[in-house]
Amino acid sequence: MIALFMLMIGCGTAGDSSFHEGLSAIRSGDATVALAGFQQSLAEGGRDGAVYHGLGNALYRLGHHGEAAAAWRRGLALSPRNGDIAANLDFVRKRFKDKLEPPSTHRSAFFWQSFLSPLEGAILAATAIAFGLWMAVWGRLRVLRGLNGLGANAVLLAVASVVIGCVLALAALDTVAQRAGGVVTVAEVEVRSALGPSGLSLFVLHEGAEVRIEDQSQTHILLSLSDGRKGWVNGSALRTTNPAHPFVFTER
Amino acid sequence: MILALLPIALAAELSLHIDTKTLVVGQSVPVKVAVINGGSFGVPVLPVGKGLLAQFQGQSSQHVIVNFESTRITEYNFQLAATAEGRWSLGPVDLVVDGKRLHAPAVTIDVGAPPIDQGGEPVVATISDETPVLGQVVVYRFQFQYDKPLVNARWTRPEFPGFIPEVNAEPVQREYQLMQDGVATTIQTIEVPLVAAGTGVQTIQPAQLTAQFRAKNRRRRRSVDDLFGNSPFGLRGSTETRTLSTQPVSVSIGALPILGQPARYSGLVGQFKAKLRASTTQVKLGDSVTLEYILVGDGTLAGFKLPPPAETAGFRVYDDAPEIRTQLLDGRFRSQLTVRRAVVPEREGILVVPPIVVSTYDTEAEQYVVVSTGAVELTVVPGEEGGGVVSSYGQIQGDSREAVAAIDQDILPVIAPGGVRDRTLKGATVILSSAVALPGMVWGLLTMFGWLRSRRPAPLAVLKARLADLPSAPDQRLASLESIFRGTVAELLGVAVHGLNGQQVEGLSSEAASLYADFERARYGGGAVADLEARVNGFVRGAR
Repeated sequence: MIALFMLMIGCGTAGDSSFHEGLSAIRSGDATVALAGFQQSLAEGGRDGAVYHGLGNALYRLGHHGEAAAAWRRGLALSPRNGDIAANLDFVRKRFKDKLEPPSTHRSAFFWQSFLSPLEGAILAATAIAFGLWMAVWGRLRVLRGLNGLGANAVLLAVASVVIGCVLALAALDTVAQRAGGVVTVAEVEVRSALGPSGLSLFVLHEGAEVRIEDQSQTHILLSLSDGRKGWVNGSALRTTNPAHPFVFTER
Repeated sequence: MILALLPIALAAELSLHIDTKTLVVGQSVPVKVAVINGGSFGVPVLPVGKGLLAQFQGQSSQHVIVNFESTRITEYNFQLAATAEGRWSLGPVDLVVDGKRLHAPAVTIDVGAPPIDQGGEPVVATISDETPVLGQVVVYRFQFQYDKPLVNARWTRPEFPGFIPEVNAEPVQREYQLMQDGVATTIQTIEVPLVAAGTGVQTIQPAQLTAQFRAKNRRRRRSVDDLFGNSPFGLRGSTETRTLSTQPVSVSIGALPILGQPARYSGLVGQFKAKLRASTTQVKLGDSVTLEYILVGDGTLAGFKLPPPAETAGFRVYDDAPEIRTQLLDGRFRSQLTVRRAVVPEREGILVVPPIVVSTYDTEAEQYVVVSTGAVELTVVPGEEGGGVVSSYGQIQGDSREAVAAIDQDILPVIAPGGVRDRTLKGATVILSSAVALPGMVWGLLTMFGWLRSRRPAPLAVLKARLADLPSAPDQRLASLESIFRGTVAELLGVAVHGLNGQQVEGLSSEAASLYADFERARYGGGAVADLEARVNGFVRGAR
C-alpha cells in the first residue's frame, strides 16, 4: 500500500506538453515562446525543478536576471541536487550589484535538507510513520486473535520508525518555512523602516538581491538580509522563492 | 669539510671549495683547492674573473683514518677578494695528480655593491629608488655595522606606508665581514622588497635595532664562569644593551603617465626581456608542442597573465600555471617568470607562432616600451590515423542539450526529464497524509474493537442470570437448564459447547459428571429430574 501511494506521487504528469514546447523553443533560440511554454506548464501544475530551470533560462535570455535567479531558486528548492541549476544561479549571482551572502540551504541539525527536497523528505517521513503504524496494526490484530503481541524488538522498531518519520516530517516542514525567501526583480528598490512612504529609507537593494521574507502585508514585505539588516519594501519589487506560489511574469 | 670529503676519498680527486658564492666589493674569503688521495707538484693555478683577486696563502696536508682506511688530503689555501661588482667565475682548476690530469669545475661568484658608507652611524636605512612610480619594485635596506662582539640583535620592522610587499619574494638577511681601516667589521643587512602602491610623498618611519654587545670585563673576583672562557656561562652580567635607530626615509611615488599608455598595457613596471623557445620544431597534427616563455626583469610579475593568441591563429593553446622565481641581492631585485604553453596546431603545413608582445613601462627610459619575443616556426606533419581529428556531435539527433556558447561563459541548459509533475510538498499533501492516516485509522478501529470486546459481560454471569428466567413449560425448562449447565461446564473447561463430551466433564468434578449423566438420561425420558433444577442451580451459582 505504501508502494501504491509512492506510485501515485511518482507517476502522474502535469504540464508535460507545455514544458516540451518551451524546451523546443529555447533550443531554437526563441526565449519569448519558451517563456510562455514554461509558464503554461506551471499553470497546468507542472511545478517541477526542470520547468523552473527552463523558465529561469528563458528569463535570463530575455535579460531579466533577477527573475531568472528567482526561478532558479525555486527550481533548486525542488531539485536540490541539480548541479546545473546551482551553476546557473552561481553564474548569475556574479552579475548582481549587491554582494550578499547566499541564503543557507539547510540547518546544521537537519543536514539532509541540502540534498533532499521537501517532497522527498516528506515521502520518507510518510513511509517511516506508515511503516511504524502498520506494525502497530499487525500487533493489535495478533492480540485480538488471542496471540501474543509484538516482541520487544518489533515494538522498538515500530517506535523508532515513527520517531524518525516525525523528525523527517519536521525537517521537511522546516525546509519550506526556511526557504521563505525572495529575490529583488526591479533595478533598484528602497528598503524603508516602516510600511509605505512614511518610513525612513534604510538602504537600497538592487536587482538580484536575495532576501528572507519575515512578514508581509497585502502590499508590503518585511525582509531581512544575511547581515541582519531588516526593512519593508513594496511586494511588487520581489519575487518569492516558494515554488508552490504562482509565477506570473509579464514584460514591463 | 674533512668529514664531507671522506665519502669521496677512495680515488685521487680534485675539488674547489668556497664558503659563500655571494660577496660584496671589498670582502675577502678563503678558497681551498683540495687534492684527495694523491700527490702533486707545484701550486695549482686558480683562474679568476676580472672582479676577483686570488692570492695563494700556503698549503697543508693531513691524514684521516676512517674504517681502517687512510685518506690523505692536501689543501692549497687561497684568499679571494672581490674588487668589482658583477658575476665572475672562479676556476676551473686543472692539476696533474700522480701523473693524471684532474679537473675541478668553475664556480660562479656574484659580487654586489659594497656596503653603504654609514658616516659613523651604526645603523642606516636606505631605499633603492626614492622616486619610484606606481607598481615599481624598490628595495628597502637596513644596514647595521659593528666591530665589537655582538651577543644578540633584534630588528623592529617599520611600517611601509604607500607600499605593499612583493608577494613572490621574502626579505633577505645577510651578514659578512670586511676589513675597514685595519679593523674587522661585521655588516648585517636586511633587505625588504616592496611594490609602490600609493602615489604622493610617503615617509617610512625609523627602523629600530636593539643590540646586546659583550662588555669589557672589569677587574673582579675570578668566578667559575671564567674557567669556561667564551662559553655561555661567561655572559651573565657582562653585556651592554643599546637601542639604535635609523633616520626616516622619504619616498615620492609618482603615477604612471596616462599619455602614451598602450591600450593593452600589461601592468608591468621595470626593465624586462622575454624569449620564446619550442621543445621541437616538427609536430604531428593532433599532437602538441610545448613553447616555453621566459620573462626576466627587475619588476614584480605578480598577477601577470600571458596574452592569448588571436582566435584565427590556426592553433589552440593551453597554458600551465606560471612559475615565478625571484632573487634579491645587494639591493637588486630580479624576477623571472616561466610559462609553458602547449600549442596544438589545427592544420598541416608551416605554422608560424607569432611573437608574444607585452607592453611594459620602462623605469629607466621613463616610457612605455614593448617587450617582444621572436616568432617560432613549426612544421606540422600529417598525424596518425584518427589523430587530431575532432569529431562533431552537432548532427546527432536526440541531443537533449541546448547549445551553449562555452562553459563558464553561459548558463547551463535544461536536460529534459522523463516527465514533469508537481513536485511541491503542497501538491502531495493529500496522498502523503492518506498514507499515514490509513494505518492510523485501522489501528484506531482495532483498538476500539478490542476495547468494546473487553467491555462484554462475563459468560458465567450471563448463565447465572438465565437461571432466574427459565421457561415454564417442563420440556423447555429442562432444555434451558441443560443449555445453562453445558455452557457453564464449557466455560469452566475452556472448550466449545458443541464439542463437549462426558469424558471431559468427568475431569471437572463428580457433581458435574453426575449432572451430565442425569441430563443424558432425562433426554431419553429416564433418570431423576425432580431435583435436577436445584442441583444445576447450585452447580452454576457455585461456578467460579
